[in-house]
Amino acid sequence: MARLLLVDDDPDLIDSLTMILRAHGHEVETLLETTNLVEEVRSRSPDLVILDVMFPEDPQAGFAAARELAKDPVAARVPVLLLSAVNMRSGLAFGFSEADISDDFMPVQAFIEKPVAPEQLLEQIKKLLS
Amino acid sequence: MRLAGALLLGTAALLFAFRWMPVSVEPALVGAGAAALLVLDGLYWMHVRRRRAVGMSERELRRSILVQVLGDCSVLSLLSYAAGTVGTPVYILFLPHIVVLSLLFDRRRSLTATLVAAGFSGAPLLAEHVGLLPVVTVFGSRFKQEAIESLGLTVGFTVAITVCYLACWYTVSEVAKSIRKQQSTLQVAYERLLQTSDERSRATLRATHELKAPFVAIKSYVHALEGGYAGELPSEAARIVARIGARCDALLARITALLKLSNLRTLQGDEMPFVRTRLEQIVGEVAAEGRAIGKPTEVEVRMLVEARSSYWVYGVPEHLRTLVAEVLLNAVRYSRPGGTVELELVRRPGAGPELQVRDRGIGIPEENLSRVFEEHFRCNNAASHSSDGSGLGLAMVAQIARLHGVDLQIESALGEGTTVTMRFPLPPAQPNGARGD
Repeated sequence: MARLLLVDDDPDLIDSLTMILRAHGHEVETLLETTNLVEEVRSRSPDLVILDVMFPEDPQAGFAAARELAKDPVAARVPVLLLSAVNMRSGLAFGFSEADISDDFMPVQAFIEKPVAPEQLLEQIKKLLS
Repeated sequence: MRLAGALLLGTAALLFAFRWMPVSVEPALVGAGAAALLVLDGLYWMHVRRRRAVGMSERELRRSILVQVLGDCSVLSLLSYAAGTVGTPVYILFLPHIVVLSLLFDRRRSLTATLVAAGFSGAPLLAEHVGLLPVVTVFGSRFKQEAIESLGLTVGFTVAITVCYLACWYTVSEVAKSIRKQQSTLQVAYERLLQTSDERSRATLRATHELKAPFVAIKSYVHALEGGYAGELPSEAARIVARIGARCDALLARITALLKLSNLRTLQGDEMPFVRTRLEQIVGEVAAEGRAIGKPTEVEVRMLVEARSSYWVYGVPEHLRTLVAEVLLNAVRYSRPGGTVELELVRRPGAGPELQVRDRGIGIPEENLSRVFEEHFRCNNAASHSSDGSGLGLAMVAQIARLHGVDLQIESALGEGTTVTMRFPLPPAQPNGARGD
């Protein structure tokens, strides 16, 4: 179906999501960190990047990575789906929501709260790939 | 620039006062002095205004002020001579300049400029003494003549004036030094505070991630197992996985509530990004969620609000949603099966809207009423009625009410039900004066 690049620091989450996505015919490659993500996206040419926000080295590494991808002329063509357990609906002052998606702050195409139900994830992927 | 204006006015007042004094003043000299001061300060004002429009550095501004002050002193020297030097209080007009110098410049520069100003003020008298300038007597006093004829008096007067100026310089520069030191301390403290706040935010984010991440991963595996992605589960295994998922949801909700509450406790009202919000929209959305929650126990949620009306409030929409949702959630949770929960929104003349949430549920014992907003507190009858509930919901409600200035009241009778009343403050008027009603 589609080639997906899943970027998350949690190996268990990667394992469970990969299981689900492959069962639906998607080809899944994974990364545990955002280092050199632009080069990885350029070399692997995924159809979609599924990107976590919080990483051990930086609680907002996902945002920084999304901005780097948006600046690269090749990587910017790949849609990005952001995943996070911290969002505005949790009412935290540092949470964020779909309303924060913008070219400067959160240059992604969609945002999903974790833990994500398989149907919701697959639906969102379908929308972004169409 | 304001100082220039003040000095001009002061000089004009002094010159004006001469009009009624029984003195003989050389009008040409006075007029020339006043005109020179006017021209100089006017030129300065235009120069600074033009430079500020294109961005003037602080160094350039200070240099301009120094030039203006010294220029003024030279004109004041002329005026002092014209007014009769020792016989007049024109020397006082040098003092505001010395104050400005002491406030704006470091001690070495301000001392140098003060001595220069003292030189300007003493120069006319010394010049008259040595005969470089004709003697001018305004009040016709004998003291001026004696001072001119006596070197001791001339020098003594000049030294006395210089000492006065130095005393003024010293006092003001000491105060300025103390203020600068405090300013520097405050600046360092402020930068440290910003850094601490930033570090605290990052630490909180990391803590959030570390607390939630394991449960997110567990829940993701539960999804995978329940969805059959790891093969078909025997019925008992499926039941256990469902229980793991439910407990995981409860833990995630509790962690989120704890983090929310912790965050709310540290916030102050003036740091909140308040916006004008329509309360009836929030109540409507929460009521719809409440109906879904009440479905399993057939608890009906009714919304009573005037159709096509706007109930404007001022707050953070997500917090207001939490406020209403937590109160409604309690009302639904502690209602008996088949019961009814009502959300009524009413206007109050001259005040913000009032929202009441009423249920006919299990109620709260009277002795517990004062404690329901405490963290982790649950009444015994509540815990018996429903195992859900962390004791954090109403604590969050209390914090949000505090931040938004909402008057929160609770009335209840055991076995009969509970009414929670929230009275919102009137939102600020819009720029056109309307409150949005």
